[in-house]
Amino acid sequence: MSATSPNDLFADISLTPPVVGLPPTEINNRFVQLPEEGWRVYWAWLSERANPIVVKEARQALNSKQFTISFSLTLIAVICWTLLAVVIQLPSLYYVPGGMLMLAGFMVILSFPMLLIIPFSAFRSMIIESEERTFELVSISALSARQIVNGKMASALLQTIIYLATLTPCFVITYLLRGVLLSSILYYLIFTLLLSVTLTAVSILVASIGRAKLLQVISSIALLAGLLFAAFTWSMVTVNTLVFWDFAGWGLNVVIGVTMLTCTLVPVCLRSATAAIDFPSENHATALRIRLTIFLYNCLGWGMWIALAAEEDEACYTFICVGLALFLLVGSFVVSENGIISPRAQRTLPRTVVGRIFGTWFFPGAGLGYVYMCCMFTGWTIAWIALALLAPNFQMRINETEQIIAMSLLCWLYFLFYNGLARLLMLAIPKTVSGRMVMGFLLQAILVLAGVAVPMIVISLLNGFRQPDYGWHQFPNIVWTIGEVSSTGIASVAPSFLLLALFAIPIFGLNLLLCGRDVLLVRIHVPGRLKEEIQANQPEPPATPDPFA
Amino acid sequence: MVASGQPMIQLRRLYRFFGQTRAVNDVSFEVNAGQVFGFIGPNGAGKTTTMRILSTLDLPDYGDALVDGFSVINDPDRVRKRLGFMPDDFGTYPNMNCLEYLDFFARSYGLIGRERIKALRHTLSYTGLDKIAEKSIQGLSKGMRQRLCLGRAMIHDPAVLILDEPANGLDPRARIELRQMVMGLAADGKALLVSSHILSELGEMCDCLGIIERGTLIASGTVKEIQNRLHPHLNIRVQMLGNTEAAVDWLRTQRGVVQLTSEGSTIRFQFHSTADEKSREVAQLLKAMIQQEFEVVDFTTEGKTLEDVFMQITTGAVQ
Repeated sequence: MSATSPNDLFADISLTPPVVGLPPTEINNRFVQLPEEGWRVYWAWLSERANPIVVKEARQALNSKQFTISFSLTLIAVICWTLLAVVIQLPSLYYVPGGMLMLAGFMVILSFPMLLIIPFSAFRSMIIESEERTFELVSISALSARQIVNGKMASALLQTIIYLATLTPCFVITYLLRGVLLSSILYYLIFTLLLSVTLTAVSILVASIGRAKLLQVISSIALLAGLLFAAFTWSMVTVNTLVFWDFAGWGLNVVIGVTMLTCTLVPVCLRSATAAIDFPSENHATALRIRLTIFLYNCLGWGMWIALAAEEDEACYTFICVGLALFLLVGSFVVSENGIISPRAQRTLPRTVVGRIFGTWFFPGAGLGYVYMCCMFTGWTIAWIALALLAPNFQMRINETEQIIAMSLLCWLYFLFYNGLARLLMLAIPKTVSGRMVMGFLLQAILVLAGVAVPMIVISLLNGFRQPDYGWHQFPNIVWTIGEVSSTGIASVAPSFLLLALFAIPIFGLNLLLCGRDVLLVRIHVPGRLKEEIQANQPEPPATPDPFA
Repeated sequence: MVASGQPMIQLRRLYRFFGQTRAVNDVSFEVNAGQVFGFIGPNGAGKTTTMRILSTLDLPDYGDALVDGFSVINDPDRVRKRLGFMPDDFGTYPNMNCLEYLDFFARSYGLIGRERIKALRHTLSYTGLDKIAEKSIQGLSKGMRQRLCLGRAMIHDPAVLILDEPANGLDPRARIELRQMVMGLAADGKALLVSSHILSELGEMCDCLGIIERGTLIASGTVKEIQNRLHPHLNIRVQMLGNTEAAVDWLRTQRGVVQLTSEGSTIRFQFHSTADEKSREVAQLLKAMIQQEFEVVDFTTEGKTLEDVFMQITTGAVQ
């Protein structure tokens, strides 16, 4: 562009007569006219600064039949339920609290638009962009991938707000009918909202990852089934808990916990979606791994809190195992990423020794990602070991300290082994192959399942199909080995433990060696042309008045 | 944004493979500001792939492409701000009219307030869409949709415009109007890369041409340069009023005149010259004929058309 500032941009263009066609006609449309006085000025100011995707989606939604139909159906359902609930409860409604039944119905009705329609609309909105070939046009505009994803999310939130605002009078009626605490109504609304936000973020992520036609069809069906299941399950949970569960006791802790998990999971999903649609040279790994760290340690914190609150060692075992499953899941995606440290990313590599020691693992690359995940799981393991060792000092009930430590270490070794193996196998798959994430996930699942099944089958065959006893040969079997530790203690799995360490640590070492090239990369200079532009775009410092002038 | 003063488009040994197919094979060329570069080639030659790489929609396997000095691989965000791309097959949103569509893209390119309104007004009048601004996109004709797409590509006043088959499916009037628009944009100082199958139009609107086949750029330069490279001689036709035989005999004695034929009062021959200024030598030949008092009615050089050049240079092979 030749113009230096937005004000100059069309200074002479407006004087240029059109090259072809008839003389221009005067367009009387608000888009091409400056807003008049009053609220329109503020509204225009707000809309100018809003994400363009939100503005576009809102306009499209208001013109679309889908929104009109789903919104009308929700309203009709709410009105019908209100009338029905009143009729059912008459005449006792005059003297017996009737809010409970009313609330249960409203929550069931609300869960369908919130947990099914809105997330699926967000998914379809992303898919349609690529089907209609508009995504390419948007992606090469000045909008960043992050703005596109955030715009889709914000449009879904806008719809959520519309639904919630519309149903607010219904919840007021519910409260006025008595029988339900205001806090309970709020808790249920918050849970529904959080679940809706999480499902929407997941839907956007699924749509961003599945860009191939076949994958889109499969993911559409799978997501629709998943959302239907979520809406139905949540409706059932709401109805059951409304009757049987008193929220007043520890509802707030659950709300805080769920809110924190949602607030840390949603950024991970959105950032992953951004990385999936952005240009490959951009470094999304750093931002994504920071978000992952926050999410994983948030899970750890709440897991520890629940384990301590439950005052059961089994809770500790459960959360250590859940941690392993979570890390294997996340790790399978991390080790299958096809990102590399591009020259663009190389411009931002840490320069100091400390920065290189701690920051390098946050840069793109499956090898660096594996080491990052290992570091994260090491931290997770240390935290559980510390809890087991320190808990008795603070009058917290942890009985089997040794077993918790053994299980933490065992899970750590399993992670190094299986995730490292998956990373090594993924090296054989070319980076240009699409669907690497799915492949990585399947590979990780197959490896773990093979680790369980193969030793069992081999030993069964050797024993003439008799039930074998646990032995060293079962060291790849996560399920049996962990079960053995929790039931009989560390002694019976000691040989397996040693064997696992014998395999896991060299696998980690090999992976570390293989990512040596990335570790040795150093920061490169910003190209001259870029430097030139950055300098030109920097605002000039205000002139300092000369005190002697 | 600051212009660099270097070529607006630079392709540096670009390669793109799809399996065993070399869609783009070592392609390099440059386009300066104010230039229209025509990109010609048979179907599947690699034109669209090259354009998609330049538009940051695809990545090269080797090589790099620069737009205003910024790499499409490492700085696509900077490239996108400077670039308007009009694809061959483009998408539109349902439930939108032309104005809403352009307004959305104006916002997407970061235009706000007065700048956005000015850009919308200018684009609508420039593309002649102002009369149908509030018409739904789904009801637009092919020509109007092409105009809308051109409007979308130029709404942010980009320094570089890439137009992939812009005249495809347009009626003759719309083609002429599109050609005028393209030439107007070049006159505004924009660098344009245009691909088309309608070679006569490209020949008229382009300053430079690149002919690509099976992923390889087989010729590039101005239309004249390519013609001269292929045909170093000129075909000349002379219409005489009389005394044709004497004129033929005289022409035989002249340097550079070969393959002389006559038919009635018409003489045809090839004029070979190694000089850069062939026209000057041709003028001198005509002057000499007049001085010899030959009655010349018409003296015309018959150059090869772009179609002839294209047919001669390409083999029609596909990969």
